[in-house]
Amino acid sequence: MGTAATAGQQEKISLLKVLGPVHVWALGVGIVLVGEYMGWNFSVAKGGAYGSLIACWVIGLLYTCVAMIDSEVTSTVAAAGGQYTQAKHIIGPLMAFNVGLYLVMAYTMLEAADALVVGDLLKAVAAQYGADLDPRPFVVLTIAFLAWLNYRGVFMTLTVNFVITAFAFIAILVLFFNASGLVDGQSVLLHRDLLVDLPYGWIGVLASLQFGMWYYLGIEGTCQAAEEVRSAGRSIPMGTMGGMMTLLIAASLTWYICTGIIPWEYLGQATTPLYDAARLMGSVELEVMLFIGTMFAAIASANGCINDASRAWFSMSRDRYMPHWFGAVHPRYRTPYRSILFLIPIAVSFAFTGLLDQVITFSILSGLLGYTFMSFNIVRFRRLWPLGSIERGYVHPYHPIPCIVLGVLCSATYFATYLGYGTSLLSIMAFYILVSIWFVVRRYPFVKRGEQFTMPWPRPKGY
Amino acid sequence: MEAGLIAALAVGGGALALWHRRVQRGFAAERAAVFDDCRALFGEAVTEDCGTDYPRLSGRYQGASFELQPLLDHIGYRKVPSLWLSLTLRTPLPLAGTFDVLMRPQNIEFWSASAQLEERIDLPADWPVHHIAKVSPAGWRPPFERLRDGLGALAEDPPFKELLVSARGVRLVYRLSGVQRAHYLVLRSLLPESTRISPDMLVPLLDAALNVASALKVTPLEKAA
Repeated sequence: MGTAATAGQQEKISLLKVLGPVHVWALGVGIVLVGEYMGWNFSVAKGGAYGSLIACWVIGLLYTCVAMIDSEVTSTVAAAGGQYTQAKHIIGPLMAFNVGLYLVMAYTMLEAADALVVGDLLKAVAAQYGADLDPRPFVVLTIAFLAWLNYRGVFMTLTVNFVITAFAFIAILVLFFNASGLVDGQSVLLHRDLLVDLPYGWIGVLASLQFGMWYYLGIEGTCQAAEEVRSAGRSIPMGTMGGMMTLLIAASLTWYICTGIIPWEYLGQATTPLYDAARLMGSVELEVMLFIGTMFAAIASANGCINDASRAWFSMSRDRYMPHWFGAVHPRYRTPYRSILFLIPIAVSFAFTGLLDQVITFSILSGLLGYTFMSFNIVRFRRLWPLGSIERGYVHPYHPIPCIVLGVLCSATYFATYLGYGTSLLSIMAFYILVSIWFVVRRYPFVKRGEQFTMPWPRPKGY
Repeated sequence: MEAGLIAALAVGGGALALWHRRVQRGFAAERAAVFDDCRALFGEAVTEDCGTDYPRLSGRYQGASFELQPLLDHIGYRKVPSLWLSLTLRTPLPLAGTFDVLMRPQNIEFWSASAQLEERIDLPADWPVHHIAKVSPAGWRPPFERLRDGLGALAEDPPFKELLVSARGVRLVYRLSGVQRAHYLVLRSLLPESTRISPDMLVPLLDAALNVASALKVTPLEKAA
């Protein structure tokens, strides 16, 4: 039987015992690898090649703040739900409802984008052989197949998952070695000719911040609470930061290859930039490898998105923020099957638009709203429960600098979105305002207010 | 060239599928063997496959009828999954209602009876603080002191998750392990940290369930004596 002594030993678990070097590597690539294969390049259209690289590093700072703040709250709120549960405990039901919805929408839109890429990729390959393929059946097929896997709760094995992720990552490395001439001594990279100064000046760099988020969107998913969350208090931030560093390297590598092969005007519009780069290399082997890599990355990402979105929807339904009917669990497979099925048509309808940049923008904006929430959530958390009043698994340093930096960078990214996708920005804001009104007027009476607060924290300071 | 590539892709895909199947079978065999180390504790032990991930064990321990069901709970959002053991002692108890206490509640415990019960109640100060306690019917109260005595040190044990008592018996839910954190974070793979239930872990739970039942069966007169 577990004892307090055992728990005490677990307190001392270090990162190396919790995460090996391979895990730290895979932490970054496993969750957001698809961001290297598509989406990031839209930032090139906004700010040029250099603007995209600057956005990549600036947004890296935004995510560093996210990782620091999220790690402190997650290691203290010993409960499932991430930012959703944090909002429930620290701010209140309306904020929790919105944050839950941000998470569901961010993942569902990402799932739609992944399926869209699969369809477009197959269409591009078919076009090479002279066939005109309609990508939509493949979009539906991809989402339906992955939803079925999630419905069944198939135990995806480590080995196969690992092969898929490793293949997608190795494909990038192989492309790098071939393109840079490290294999045969002949580099095909033309940075000297293709790299130009900032085509739209610094305002272009600012505009590219929006798609710079695509490199990392979802990395905060590594801040996972466990039933014995405090034992992993240190591994949560260290694991996330390890993933961040890996992603920065992978992102810089991807940028280096693509900007050396594809002119920025074309790169900024490509659906599958790495695959296109491989095609331009003229090697069938590389083309096939990047085709498989793109497919693997997109499918693995969509699979994870269905998993996460349906569970967030399930949690909201259990709390009666959504109809309780969605809170059912399959009696045999133990999966939130109604939530999984409900989100399918939403993902399919967005994927059917065929507008990858718009779908990505919706996903990014939902994620960005969640990060904005975190910047003032941590201030309120520290004010209501000051250090020492409750046990924290991890205390992030330099407070309040990270939350100020996060707030400033989020504001800059909203402005960036307004510059390129003002209508999308306003429509998604209108959507969240309307559903908030619906929640307050129609849904809130169903919420069991007494069962919302599940943490044994002392009364907040000032209450 | 293209034919060669297609053949290589077909062979690669086939090999991956075969590997996947082989590993899946290995995991299924591991899950099926979850009771192998502790089966000897029970008389008339019967293991049955009830269609879920893990089998169910029924048997007699110290003459009492027990059912054991492991349950891999991966329903939580942003939460590392846990492997629970639901241990049910089937015995008639002199109770006019149902009482449930759930430790570290998160409102996503789909396997718990807590959500179905009518009234949320406060427990006396000698119970651990992080819990939600409920009863049905509303207004009925169980004998808290005897329940607490029966539960003993188990109530303070971090993996202890739930106690349910009703006229039909006692149920305890206990956290056997989590899944391997790194593998779950990286690839959402559900690989439990431990795959067998050891007698050392199980015996105190069986005894606690028997103690709770005994405590509830004791009449106030017997207790006074």
